[in-house]
Amino acid sequence: VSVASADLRRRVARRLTLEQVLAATPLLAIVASLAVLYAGEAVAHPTPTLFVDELQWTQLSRSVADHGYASIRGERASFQSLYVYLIAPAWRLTDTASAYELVKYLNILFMLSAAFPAYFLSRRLVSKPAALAVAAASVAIAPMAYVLYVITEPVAYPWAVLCAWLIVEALSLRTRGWIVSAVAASLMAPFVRSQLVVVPAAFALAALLVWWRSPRARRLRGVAWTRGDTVGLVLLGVGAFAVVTRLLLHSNTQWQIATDNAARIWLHAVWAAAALTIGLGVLPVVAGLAALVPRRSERLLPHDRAFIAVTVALAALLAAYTGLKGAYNEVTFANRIDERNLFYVAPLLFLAAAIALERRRVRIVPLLAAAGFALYLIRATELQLNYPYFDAPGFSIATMTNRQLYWPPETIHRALYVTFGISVAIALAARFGRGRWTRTGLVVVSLLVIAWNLAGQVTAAGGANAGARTFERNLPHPVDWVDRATGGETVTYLGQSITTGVGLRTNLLEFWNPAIIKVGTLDGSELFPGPTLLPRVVKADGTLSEQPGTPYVLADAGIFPVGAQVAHRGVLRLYRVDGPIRFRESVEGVDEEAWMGSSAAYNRFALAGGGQLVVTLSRTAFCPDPSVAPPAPRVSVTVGPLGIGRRNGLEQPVLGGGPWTARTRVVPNCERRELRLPVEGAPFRAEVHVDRTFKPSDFGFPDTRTLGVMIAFRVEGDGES
Amino acid sequence: LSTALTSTAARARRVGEVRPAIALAPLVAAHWAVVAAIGLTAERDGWRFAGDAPEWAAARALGHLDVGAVPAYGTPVLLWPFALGDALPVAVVLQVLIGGPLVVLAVYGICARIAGRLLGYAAAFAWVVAPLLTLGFFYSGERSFQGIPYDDFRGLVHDTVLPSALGLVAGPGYPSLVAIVVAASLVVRSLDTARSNDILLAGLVAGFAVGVRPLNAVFLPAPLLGLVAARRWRSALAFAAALAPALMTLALWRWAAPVDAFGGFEFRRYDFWANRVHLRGAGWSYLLVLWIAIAGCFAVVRRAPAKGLLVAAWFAGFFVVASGSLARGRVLDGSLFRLIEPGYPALALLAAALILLVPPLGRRGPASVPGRERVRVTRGIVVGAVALGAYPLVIVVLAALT
Repeated sequence: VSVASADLRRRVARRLTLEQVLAATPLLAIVASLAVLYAGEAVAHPTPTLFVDELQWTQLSRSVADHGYASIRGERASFQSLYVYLIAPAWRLTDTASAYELVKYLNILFMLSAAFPAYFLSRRLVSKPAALAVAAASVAIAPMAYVLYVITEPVAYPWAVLCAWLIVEALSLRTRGWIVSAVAASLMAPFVRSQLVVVPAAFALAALLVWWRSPRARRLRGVAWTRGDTVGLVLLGVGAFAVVTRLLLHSNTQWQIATDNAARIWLHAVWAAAALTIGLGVLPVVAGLAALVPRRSERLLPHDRAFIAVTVALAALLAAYTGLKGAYNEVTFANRIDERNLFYVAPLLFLAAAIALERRRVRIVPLLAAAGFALYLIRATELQLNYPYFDAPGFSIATMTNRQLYWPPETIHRALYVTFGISVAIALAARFGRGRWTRTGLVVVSLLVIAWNLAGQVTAAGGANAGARTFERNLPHPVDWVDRATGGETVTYLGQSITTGVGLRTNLLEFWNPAIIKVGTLDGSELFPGPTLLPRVVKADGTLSEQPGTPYVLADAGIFPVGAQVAHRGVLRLYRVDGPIRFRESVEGVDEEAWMGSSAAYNRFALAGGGQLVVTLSRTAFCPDPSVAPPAPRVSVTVGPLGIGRRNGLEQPVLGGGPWTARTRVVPNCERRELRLPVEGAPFRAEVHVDRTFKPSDFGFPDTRTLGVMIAFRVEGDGES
Repeated sequence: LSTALTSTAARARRVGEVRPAIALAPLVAAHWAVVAAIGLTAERDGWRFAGDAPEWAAARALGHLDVGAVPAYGTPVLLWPFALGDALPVAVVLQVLIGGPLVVLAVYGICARIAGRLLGYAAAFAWVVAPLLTLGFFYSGERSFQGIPYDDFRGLVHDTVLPSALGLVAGPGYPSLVAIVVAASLVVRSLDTARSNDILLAGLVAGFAVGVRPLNAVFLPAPLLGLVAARRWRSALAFAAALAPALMTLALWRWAAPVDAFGGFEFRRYDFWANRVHLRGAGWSYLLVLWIAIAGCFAVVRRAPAKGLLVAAWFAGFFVVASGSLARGRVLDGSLFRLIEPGYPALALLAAALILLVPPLGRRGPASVPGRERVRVTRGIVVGAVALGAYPLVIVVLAALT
């Protein structure tokens, strides 16, 4: 008997395993299909484009892979995210291109894994087909395009969904295992992405909401308790929040900046919510919000209560965070729509919508309120049709209609209103409809919602890839030319006059060439994301104040170190330097396009014998209409011996002693002039001043720089061979 | 916790059982002490404080039956005997000695009728300590907020705003404040008692407040709203009718005045927003003020809807409507604070009413259903009608004819 029963148990176990595998097949098939799609997108994404974020996470994880601790540009960095450690092994691969590919595939795996907690959570509340639809939609949203970037979102998203699922289980089942798991995952969330600090807060708030509805809390409140009492208590809480945040965060600059702009907090939350609403297809927001208010006669399970509490808490806190962050960024960085900080709530909205449609949890007043809110979101937000709009990929579906169907924004808005109307109609049909057609209709609606989201994702990824291809085309090739030229030996980049373009180019160089371990600028410009060396010439022979100690120097425009040039791309030259870095010559105040502002200088540290300094002055790149053209500038050049003196409070090259000679030349617009000045042996310095500058933006160009003339220096004569 | 709550409730009940005279007398004395402290430390020239109003000159002119260049008749009518006698100190002392207790008692009365004696005492206490809390609320020294420079805003409040709000300035601010808080308390009392005389008197006093400063008309919707909410249609009509003498006198004054100095009731959303931003920069927490306003309004309306609506509309009239014009008054130079002075007691009431947010204190109290009462000619109504209606009208008619 015992042998027979053991055999039976084995057979049952085998059948269960097979059943489990078969049961998991649809979900795995969905995930695998999307993985193939996203892998295809990743292949077409040749280079990072989001700086400084992608370089920061790359440097941190690459340093972990190299020497076990996180650092940026050789300096140890504090803990930032678990993501750094998750992608670190990829950088152990020999070449950067392969490692970068692997990181993108890892991102896909991480982000797609959100489908599993979304499915498990959904199965508690809706049927299997509906749960599959929720899981599929959760990993088809437009922000899935973030898999193409080296950023924390690909890990933060599944982690947030995992936390939501665990918290719902913990609050409804209240067993030790679920509670410990939920608490651990929630406490871990801020270490995945600092923004997820809202997760433990949402856990606490959801627990409070669930407790508030519990029989014990009802007993504690007593039978006479009214809604007014609850509102009063909430208002007291708001007052306590006002006082406590004022007391505790009084000296917190970030909080102050964000809350000083209080009206903008609401706007930023609204804009982000609008992007999310549009990206999800409007219906999940309309039906999902309506489903948060159960029907009067509905018998709620513990999972229902916990899910509503978690959704309300997480959505509210994420919206608050988004508003605060947006208001802060508006002051310190840029005015953007940060759906990026809100999209974590998408699976919960999908599930809520599934509950509304499948379980007919659509009450009229809540539906009207949800519809009114969605309508307000659509009306209050200006569509962003950038291709892509990184911070709010939800707009991608609108971008798609703009690019593929050539719809202007007004038409897109009208289409959104139609979508809104259809969404409300679907919600009403789900509430009042009966029969087999309703179920068929719901399947069609689910597929349409998934298709809508996927269309947004494909458009967002397409935009990201188009940008990446443009970057890649403009990069010097091979992209790792510095690494190849040095054979992996370390390099210091030295530049000056860091414009946005130069900063981006340097970030890309650092990404593709890990040999560049330090960067420095001669004019005090900062090059994010890490520490920037700020060396100055402190000796008349061109020796720098700071010596990075690398055998190679990558010199940008206007910088000429003493050493052997081993490679070059455009204005960038790679030198092998022996001993301390010393300059042969350098130019100050001239950008990479050879434009100077009101003043510039040329330093010559090494030159045997005298000769002529030839200064070329040009405005050939500025030919405005004569009726509006600014008057021609006078450019004066003074040459003399170079000394080291105090300038702007720092020891720097200056004109030492009396000048040898000075010349002035008028440089008309659209014309070129040349000045020749006799010079003696080095070291010498030439200082240039322009009396009239202009801004191209004043003449209808987008460029807002203040420009004088284009300038170039060369030495002719005895000492120059 | 339960024991502590029980003992606190018992103690609170005991405080509530204290007779008003015993509780309010020390509060009135404390109020005078606060006024004296502010008066002695504020910047001044003898009895003249910064922000002194032009009404004193107009009062002197009215003493000679001449209509001065001020927008309303109320202050000159009140002050002309003192101005003629150059008795500014007497006027100020009388304002403080009579007006101070009146305001404390009226604030107590309103809140006591909303939620009982305990809240009444809390409101009276809030009014007494409000000047000190106000000083603590505003920043001293130089600072900048959103690019707007502030140079010792606390000093500005101490030297100009508080003296006016406490009756140390012989201008229209303090008489407005006293008149409006008294009118509000009379309306609130009438909501409980249905005494028509109270309503008539409230209308006369509120009308006189408009005669003191036309902008005080922003208060008028408050009693009407309270009366309508309580379905006291006749009382609402009586209140409106009682405004008539004052409005007639004001029309006559403005007809006779050499210039029209009244700034109007203009409300601009941008100006209101700008004043709010400036207040944010000047004080410790704008959110706190906003919370007191919203939470306080909820608390009073929930506890006693009609009276609560009166208080809420009274507050909104001054802190919202009257604040909506930079040309009329600005936070940055303190000019707005003088205009909204009559709304301060409403803010104190709302702050005290926050206690009602603690369950179950804020639950609706029993609605009083008093019987109707006809107007009876009493000594009080006759004195009120003469003092607030006939006397100003006669003086202004004489001045206008002259």
